Amino acid sequence: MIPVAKEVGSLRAIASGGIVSPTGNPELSPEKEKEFRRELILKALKTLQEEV
Amino acid sequence: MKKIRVVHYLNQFFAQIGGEDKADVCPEIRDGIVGPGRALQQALGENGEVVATAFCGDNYFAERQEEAIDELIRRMAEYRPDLFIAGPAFESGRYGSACGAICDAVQRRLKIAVVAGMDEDNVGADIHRKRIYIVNSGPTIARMTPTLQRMAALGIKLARHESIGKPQDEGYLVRGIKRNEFATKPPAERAVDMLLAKLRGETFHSEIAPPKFADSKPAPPLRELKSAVIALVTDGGLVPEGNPDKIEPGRPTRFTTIPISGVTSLDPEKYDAVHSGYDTAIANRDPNRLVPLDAMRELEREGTIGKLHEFVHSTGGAHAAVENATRIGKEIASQLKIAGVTGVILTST
Amino acid sequence: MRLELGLHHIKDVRFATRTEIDSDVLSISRSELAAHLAQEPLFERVEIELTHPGESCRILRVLDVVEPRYRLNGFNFPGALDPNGLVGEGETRALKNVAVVETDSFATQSRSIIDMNGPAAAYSPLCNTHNIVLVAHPKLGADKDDYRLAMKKAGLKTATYLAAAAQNVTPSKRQSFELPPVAANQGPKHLPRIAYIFPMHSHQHPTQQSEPVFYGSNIQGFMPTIVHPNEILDGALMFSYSAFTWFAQNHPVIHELYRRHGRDLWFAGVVLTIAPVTIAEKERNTALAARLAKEVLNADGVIATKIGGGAVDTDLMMIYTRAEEMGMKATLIIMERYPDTGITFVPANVNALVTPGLTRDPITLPAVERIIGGDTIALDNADPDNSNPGVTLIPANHELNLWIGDIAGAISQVGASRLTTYMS
Repeated sequence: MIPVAKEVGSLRAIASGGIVSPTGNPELSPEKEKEFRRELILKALKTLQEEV
Repeated sequence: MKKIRVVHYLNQFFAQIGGEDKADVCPEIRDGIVGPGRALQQALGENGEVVATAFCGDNYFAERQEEAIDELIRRMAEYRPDLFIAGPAFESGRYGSACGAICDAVQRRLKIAVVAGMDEDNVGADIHRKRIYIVNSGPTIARMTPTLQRMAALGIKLARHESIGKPQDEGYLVRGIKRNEFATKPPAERAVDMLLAKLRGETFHSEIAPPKFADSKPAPPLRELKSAVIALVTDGGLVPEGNPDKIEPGRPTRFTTIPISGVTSLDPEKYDAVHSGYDTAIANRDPNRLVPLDAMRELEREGTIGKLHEFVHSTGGAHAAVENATRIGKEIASQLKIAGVTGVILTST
Repeated sequence: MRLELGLHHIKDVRFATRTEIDSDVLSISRSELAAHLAQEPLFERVEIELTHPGESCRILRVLDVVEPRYRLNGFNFPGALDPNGLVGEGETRALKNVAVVETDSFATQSRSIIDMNGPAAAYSPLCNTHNIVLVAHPKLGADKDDYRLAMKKAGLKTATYLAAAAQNVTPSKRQSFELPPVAANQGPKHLPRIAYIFPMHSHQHPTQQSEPVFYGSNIQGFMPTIVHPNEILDGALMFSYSAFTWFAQNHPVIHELYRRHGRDLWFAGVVLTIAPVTIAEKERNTALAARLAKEVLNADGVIATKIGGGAVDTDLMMIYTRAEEMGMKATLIIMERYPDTGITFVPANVNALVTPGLTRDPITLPAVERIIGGDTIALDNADPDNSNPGVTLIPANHELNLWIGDIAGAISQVGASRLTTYMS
């Protein structure tokens, strides 16, 4: 829903794992899914440090 | 048809008590009509009767709104009204605000039809136009009679539960509430017409206006993560098992605050996802897929972030009314700010 | 490819000893049809009810609505009912003024209703058809999702069974739909070529594994593709949710493009697609769909509709933006839900929207004498402070405060309604 977020003025928005699992991916094995989540959160934290 | 019983509200000036010097008079009610009530009665004709006129000083009302409303409603109720008419207040801000507030309360508590009248730029119009019908009186008192005629006509329809027409036809201020009406052509035909007009370079009118959202400026970037206090927020409807705060699956009016001190991972037995806009099965099996608590705890332990805030704020964002979403956002933000949070990760479905 | 619909304008429907059509009256052998449907292992008991336009009758928990159709060349609803095969050409019989209404016994929270008289009838064609209503009581322990698929299949069985009675009867009218291959079908230069981009499902509510949506496929991971419009009209598509199959069989946009084909436009074809759940897939699918319309169908303009929740407003806006970037003009039909804003958002570049109506517009429906499909309806607790969110079950034959969107068929996302909206 990034386009909606940007349209209403929420400019720091990154792609999630999808509507039904924003910070997950059920197709991955549990270990890989944890890795995926960690990478996603690190990316989000990095975005907080960016100028918009 | 039964005559509609009408109570009319005026301020101290129109009730012929006095001017600014009498703006402190307390709420009162009199049998029958007072002042402009005569024109209102004429406009009602055989359809209704002004059984009482209530009034209050503008200053009294501004300073003691709750009390004044309670007193007015208590006294009005004795007259068993079917319709409440307030004003018109024209440009007078205190009077207009009073009309709006009393109408709102009467509608809610006495559950009868209400109509207010004031100029479209009156501060009372901004506040109340969404919940009550406000007839646009314009700024000048010269429009008293035609305004009361509009107010009476609209009031009669409301009291009789008849369907209400468009703002421009009935004379009320646009409330910001969309309605359906029957169209002369079906949507598919209108869409093809619109597309062909567009291709020919002719003018056409889009049928849905862009919603307006309040401007907001992004906060400056976080200086460093090591000292940051990060909070997790979600609109995916995370709730403790059993949804004790009864968070709505759609059209949220509130949020819940979930304590997570000492919690290192969201246990599917202890947390649920409640949301009508997506299939929550996957999130329910592992709520960390909705709110990444386990990953955040790890980063907190490693010192990548300073601290994970002790609460998760959550609501279910399906079909949220913009007004409510804005209010919820502001309330959450204010709590986070007071708690010293410097960054937020909001996970959205 | 040419599809010929033989239309039977049915004037009345009644139960009788044999299923047949005579002088435009449809007779139905209730026992034969019930026996046919009772073969489903998940059904404990099947009731078949009949209700007519004008009756004081309310149908509850509407799951899907299907128009009776029978293909003289077989493959009725391929992949969903009959084994797989292709549709969209040859002769198909259709019973007009008749509909098969499936109800879902598990859906106690459903607000989807059909009133056969009263104010609802002005809004929906499904309130004005002779409705054959299926109520199937599930066997103890039946899974509600499996039951739902079984009920959808029962609806298709019934629709085919009823229309089969028309095969040896001369139709009242014939309607043909013919569109030759694109390569041979560029049309005269002065007529704009219009394509229809059609998302048929949004996986925010994923399909079940064995759920037949398009030619029997559960359409997970479906990539945009070109289909012949006749396939939509002739039984290849069953919506999973958010629209009734009746509106695929009587697709308003496809009908309109056919109606004006050769007059003020040239129908370039249909791109069928879905709305996926990640932003990356949304970007891919919407770009591909627009590309197919432009580079394969050679469209000058596209119309797109949506299916699904607020999330799909995003896909639709992307289709529009990509289409216009590629040099086509676009117009969207997008259903409104919210009395304050209508839809979720409108990007600055989007200036051509058509509304089929607002779902959350209050309407009061009067008390009725007869109800089919349940006893109660779940209505939102209307506490002003929302202190007790949730629903209360009230007797369904009472006066009801519902929304116009609850009336089955009043507003279909594929662009069918009798409505437009205004700001009050």
